[in-house]
Amino acid sequence: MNIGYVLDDVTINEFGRGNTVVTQLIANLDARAIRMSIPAVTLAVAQHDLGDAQIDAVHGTIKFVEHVRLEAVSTLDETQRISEVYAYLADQPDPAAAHVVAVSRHLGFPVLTTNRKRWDPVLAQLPWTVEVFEISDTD
Amino acid sequence: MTDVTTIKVPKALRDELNALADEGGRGTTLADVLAQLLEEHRAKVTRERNAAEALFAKAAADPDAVAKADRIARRAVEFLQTRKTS
Repeated sequence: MNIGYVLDDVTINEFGRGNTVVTQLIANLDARAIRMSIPAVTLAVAQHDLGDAQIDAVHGTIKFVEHVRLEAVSTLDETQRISEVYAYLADQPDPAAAHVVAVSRHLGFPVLTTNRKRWDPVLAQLPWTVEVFEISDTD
Repeated sequence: MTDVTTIKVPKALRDELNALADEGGRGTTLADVLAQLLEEHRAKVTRERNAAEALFAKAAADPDAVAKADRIARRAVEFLQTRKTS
């Protein structure tokens, strides 16, 4: 199934910290063959305050969970896509968000986040619509 | 005697491997260095796999998390399907 989500930094961080709902959601979406993209720059930001064992768990998930995929920055096109987004975030530099949006636009996947409010100031600066799905069990 | 072969590597990489062999002391060969690096790599991958499996096992053992995640996953899939058809 060529549909999926792009995980943001707060979600990756929560996962690394052992949030059981996020973890089980990832397992659940993987079982449904929903792709979960993790942008490399976003991962770098998300894991900066995680411990070694927590980082191991995140990296192990990327390596061994079938539908979780690292989105690298290894080509000029990938670099350019981030740059195009980053240009709009210059007032409040947010490289983690820039890579999420770049991947989201490129793949046509919405953003998966545990905190919708994290995206309000970002989306307000962008000229494009970026869909965001919040991990919430309240409605 | 163990079969041996030749591999082509950039000179800079060979120099780094030689430096590691020197650090290993007398008698340490490049083959020893490569074997050690492979072992460390395998250990790292095993550690990562175990850490990930432990995280998923902990979540799967939490009935409340399983129920919540299932509800959220259904909504998340519906959200994707709605986008696809619109």
